[in-house]
Amino acid sequence: MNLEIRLFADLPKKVRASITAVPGEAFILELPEGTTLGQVFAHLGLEGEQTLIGLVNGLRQLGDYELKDGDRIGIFPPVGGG
Amino acid sequence: MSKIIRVNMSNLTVTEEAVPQKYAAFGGRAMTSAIVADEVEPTSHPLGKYNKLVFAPGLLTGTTAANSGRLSVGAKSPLTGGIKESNAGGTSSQKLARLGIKALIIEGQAAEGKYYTVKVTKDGVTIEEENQVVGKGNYEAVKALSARYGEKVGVILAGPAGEMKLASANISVKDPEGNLRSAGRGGLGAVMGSKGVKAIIIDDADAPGVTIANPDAFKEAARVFAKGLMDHPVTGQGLPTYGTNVLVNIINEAGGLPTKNFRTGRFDGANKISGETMYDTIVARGGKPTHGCHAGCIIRCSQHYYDKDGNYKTSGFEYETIWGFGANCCVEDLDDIAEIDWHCDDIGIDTIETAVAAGVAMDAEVVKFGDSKGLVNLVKEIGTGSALGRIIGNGSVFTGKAFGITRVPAVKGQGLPAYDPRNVKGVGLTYATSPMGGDHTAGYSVATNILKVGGYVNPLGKEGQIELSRNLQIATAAVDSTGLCLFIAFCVLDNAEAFQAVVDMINAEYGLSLTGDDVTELGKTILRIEKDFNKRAGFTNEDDRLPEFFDEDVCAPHNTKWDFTDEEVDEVLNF
Ligand code: SF4
Repeated sequence: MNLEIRLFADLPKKVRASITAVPGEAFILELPEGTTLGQVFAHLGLEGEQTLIGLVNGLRQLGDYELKDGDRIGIFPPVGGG
Repeated sequence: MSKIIRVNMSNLTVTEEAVPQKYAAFGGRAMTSAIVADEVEPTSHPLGKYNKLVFAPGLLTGTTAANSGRLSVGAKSPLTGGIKESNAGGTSSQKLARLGIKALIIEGQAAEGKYYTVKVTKDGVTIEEENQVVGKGNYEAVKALSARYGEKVGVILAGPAGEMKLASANISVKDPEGNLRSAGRGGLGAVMGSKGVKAIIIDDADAPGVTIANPDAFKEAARVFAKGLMDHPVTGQGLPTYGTNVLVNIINEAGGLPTKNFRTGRFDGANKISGETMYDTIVARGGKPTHGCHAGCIIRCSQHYYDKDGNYKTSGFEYETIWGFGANCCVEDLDDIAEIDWHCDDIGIDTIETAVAAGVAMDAEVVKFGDSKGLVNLVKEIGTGSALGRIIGNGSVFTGKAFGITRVPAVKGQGLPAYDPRNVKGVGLTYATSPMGGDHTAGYSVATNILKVGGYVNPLGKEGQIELSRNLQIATAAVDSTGLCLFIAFCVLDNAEAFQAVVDMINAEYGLSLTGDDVTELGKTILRIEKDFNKRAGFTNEDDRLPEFFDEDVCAPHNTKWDFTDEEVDEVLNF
């Protein structure tokens, strides 16, 4: 299945070297059916990042959340402001 | 801090008083709200001689505590008609504290058309007629006043908008580099202008400084607190690098970024105005990505944004401003938004209120959505004093009335900031119920709804939101009384040790033995004082409501409506 991924803040610099990403710009990952959000983090080389925020179609989900084809996934490090 | 100074602009006299016992444990917002509630007739005209403008440093201001130099400014608001505390950085608060001044009260009203500069030094207060900087933009005024009184002095200004008594006029405060920070919300600049006070100079040369009852305990608590701030990923890393504007992308992704005057929760151009893009632009142009609004800030969320030619354009370029003139007006040119921010600072007008008013004006096609040059001109118009400029400068509700637009996102007359209440429901409850009117800082439920700070409450659901907004409003009222920057909350909500360190610092400074519960009690006391003032000014529960379009129009991408009942909303501040 295809997943639409966006990485934010400094995460594009932290993913594994084989992946090139620009903050906020979507790219597609093709992964097997049944992949979880946590497995996407691992695939990206972000599994050490304990504090990540993952939004799937705009809703926060945890690592065991099972993804569907076409899901829009935004991944953030801890951020704040206001 | 041992004294209260009263400046009477009707007869140009100054009196000094000891702090009454009932205010001993107050600072910042507690102090401004208590004085306004005790001394201002709630039904008086906000721009008349019976209103009072109060400046107060926080309980910890003037000490070495990290991020403790914020200033509270209070009065009856010409925008909301209710009580107001507006909070700013800059150098003045620490100077007031070091001079031993717990509150500076401006009362009465100068003769029509006359402006004065009030100068505060260790020897007392003088009132001098001001002719040089009246009518001048804030950037020029701050330079001229610093040249006249010394580069190191603190400067507090009513800008051209304040002189025009526009309901969105802010109060500008000089920062360490001579740029401007603002007590933005609620039109307090108009109150200052109405008093005939153009500027306040704070010169703390040879000031006595702040006495600490228990220096060793203070030092230790301050160390623990600073370490907590540095270690937390948001206050130690996220905010310093990207500033508050890092929120554009996450709030957009979460579907809560109000777009096109609060029509949808996502903006296609979000990434063009995001914190990440801003950071890259600043670095490429040789600007400063990180900067503190006062000495002793270690989070340093501010920055210097440079223009295409590598010249300083603006600082303190914040998420709310960029959202407001960006997504809310469908503008995706960051340079144009920076230009607008500079003009707002120079005119002395609140960026949030002006951006919300601009969105409403765009609904009336005064300028088309997305027309960034048109938007720059619309904002510049405010400084000219034209009829159109005065309409926009009187805020979102006034603009809606002038152009017959009913889609006006405002509560108690104050425009709503950068989070759609349908998709970040916790902050919607704060907008509805805060005695300040539509305000996000008063109880920043966004932290827990979206940012994973202080636990998690689903932003689209109702469960847990009432308690969340209530608890955050109570905690915020207390933090606003310490002089600490509200952003320390990102750390102390997650880190009990850092929270305890704040209590310990207060205890060590004043020789007290407060507990966390006392701090909560202080927050409740402040909210009760503020609610009571508003009630006496004529507010009822019916004023604690969001505009009806939020109940009726669905907001993409989650297709939500505002669905709290009136009874539920009324529970928020029922304690
Ligand atoms: S974190 Fe930002 S707003 Fe807070 S004190 Fe520092 S620069 Fe000012």
